[in-house]
Amino acid sequence: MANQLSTKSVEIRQRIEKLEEELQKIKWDISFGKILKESIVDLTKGILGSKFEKGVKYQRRIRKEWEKRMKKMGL
Amino acid sequence: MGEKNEKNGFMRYLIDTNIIVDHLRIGEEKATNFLKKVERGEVKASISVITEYELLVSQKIPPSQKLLIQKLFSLLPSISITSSIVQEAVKIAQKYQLGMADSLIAATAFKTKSILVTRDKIFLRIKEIKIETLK
Repeated sequence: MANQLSTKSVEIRQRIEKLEEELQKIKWDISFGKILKESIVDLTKGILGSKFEKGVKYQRRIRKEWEKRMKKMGL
Repeated sequence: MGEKNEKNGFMRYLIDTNIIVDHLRIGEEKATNFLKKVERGEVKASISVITEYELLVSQKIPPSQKLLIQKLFSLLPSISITSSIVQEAVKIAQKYQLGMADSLIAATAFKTKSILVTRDKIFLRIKEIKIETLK
């Protein structure tokens, strides 16, 4: 009787371990799926920070520099 | 923002550098929302190779961030500068006294029948193109 109980408890423990492994696998799949579905727009939102120049200011500065270089080249 | 043009096709947009910067800088609401629409496939938009250059050339942006910016570019097909765009850009540059990059951007919008998404007031006087300022 004691032997039977011991065998049963080992079986139950093994079953629980197997279920835990399966659960862990499901957790991994879910989190990996989340990463894959992550929006590129969300990922890049605000990465430069507020200290970076505003869009129009940056654009005007870089295009002015471009014009200056072209003038220097005689174009 | 109407999504269909007079020929019953979907409107196309050309996003200028300043809009991308406003999204990257602070995730400015309207710029980011517009890009979200593009990501969801609700709006067709592209960028000029000039915008690609203007962002990737910056020494203020570290390489790790440039990698992310390139990921963002994967959502936005880039339009190359063709001979017909150059010819249009020359006309626009002479008519409106615009610099090279501005005239090429305007000509790209004109030739691809796209609405230029920009907050740069310099484009407002160009009659040949439609502007969306995201206000």
